[in-house]
This record gives sequence, C-alpha cells and structure tokens, in this order.
Amino acid sequence: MASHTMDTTTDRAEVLFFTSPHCSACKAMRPVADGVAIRFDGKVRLTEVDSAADSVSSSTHRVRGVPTFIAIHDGIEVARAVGSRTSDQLTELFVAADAGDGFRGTISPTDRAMRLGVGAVFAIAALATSTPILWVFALAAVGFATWDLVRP
Amino acid sequence: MKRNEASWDRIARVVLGIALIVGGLAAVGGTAGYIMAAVGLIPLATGLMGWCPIYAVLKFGTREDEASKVTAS
Repeated sequence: MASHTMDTTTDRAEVLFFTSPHCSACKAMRPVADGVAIRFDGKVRLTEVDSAADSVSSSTHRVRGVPTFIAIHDGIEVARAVGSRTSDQLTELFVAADAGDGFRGTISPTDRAMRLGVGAVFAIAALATSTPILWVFALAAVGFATWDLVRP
Repeated sequence: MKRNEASWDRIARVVLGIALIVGGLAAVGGTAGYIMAAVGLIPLATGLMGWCPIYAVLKFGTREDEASKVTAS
C-alpha cells in the first residue's frame, strides 16, 4: 500500500483510507482493502492516511471517524464509506473512484441479486398459484433491492 | 448492525421464509395460512438483512469474516 500522501490532484483515481494507530477496525479492514486494491492495480490507487498524524487531511476531508474510505476522481470526492465494509462494498467504492461516478447506495451486488431473486420467486408463485397477495411480497422485495437507486 | 449470518445461513432462511409465505398464503389459506406467512416473514427478513437479532443477543454467529478471506487474484 502506498504511504500517506494527499496529492490527490495528480492521481486520476484514488481511494483514501483514513485510519488511526489504535483502531482495531482499521487493522481488520487493511487486508480487505489491500485485496480489493490489488484487483484495481494500475487503475485506482489505495492511499492510507493516519488521521491522528495528519489532522489537516482529516479536517480537509471532513473525516469524523475511522476507518473512513473516500473515493477520489480527478481530485474530487465522488463517494465515501465510514466504518467496516465488506469487500463487495469496497469494490463499489473503487469502481466509483475509477469511473468518477459516485455510487449512491449501500446495497452490495450480491444482496441486490438475492433480493431481486426473492422478488422473482414471489412473482412466479403469484402467477402459478393465482394468489394476488404474493405480488405485494414481490414488489416489496424489488423495492428492498432498489431503494438506494431511487432515494433522493 | 454487523452481519452475523453466513451465506448458507442466509440462503436457508430465505428459502424457508419463501416456503412458509407461499405455502401459507397459496396452499393453506385462512387464519393458519396468515400465521404461517407472518412467521415466514421472520426468516425471510433476517436472511435478506444478513443479521439475526437472536444471534446478536446470544453473541453467536454463523458468519466468519468472509471479507477477510479476500486475497490477491
């Protein structure tokens, strides 16, 4: 992992990983972040920032707690995540940094697929058994899968 | 709300929940069917969320830290 740097304007795509020395969650997240970063090697750089040692950077990026991940594209923040995250969620952050388009939700692709699948099963069951109330469950599952896309 | 269910646990809950809801509303019907469906909502919801409140109270969980298993490809 790269050492601390705040030269965000020279990196087209970067994810800043704000940590602190005594943060156990940060230590737990480090191998996860490194694992995701390797998949984006050459496209998105992962930069660890010690928020305790660099209060200026923390203040500039309005970091209120650690771990905090901030996706930067062309020097502009496009997405952030605070707290422990799964590799799926970190991947979304890296994709956002790479594409320059902030992801708007917290639903991982796996969760979205699972919820849409449940909706599909309910829809099929509603059709197969002619039970209209099952459409309510189907629509609820689809709503549960897509709420992050439609919220303001 | 930290997830405490493994993938297999979540899938089992979702399948059970769907079975109870569809079975209750489409096959059983009546009050018993509605009760089955209501009961089925519990595993379905906890399966979709990946978090079980009973596990949390008992400080138990089936989920290992799956995220930490990510390795360089």
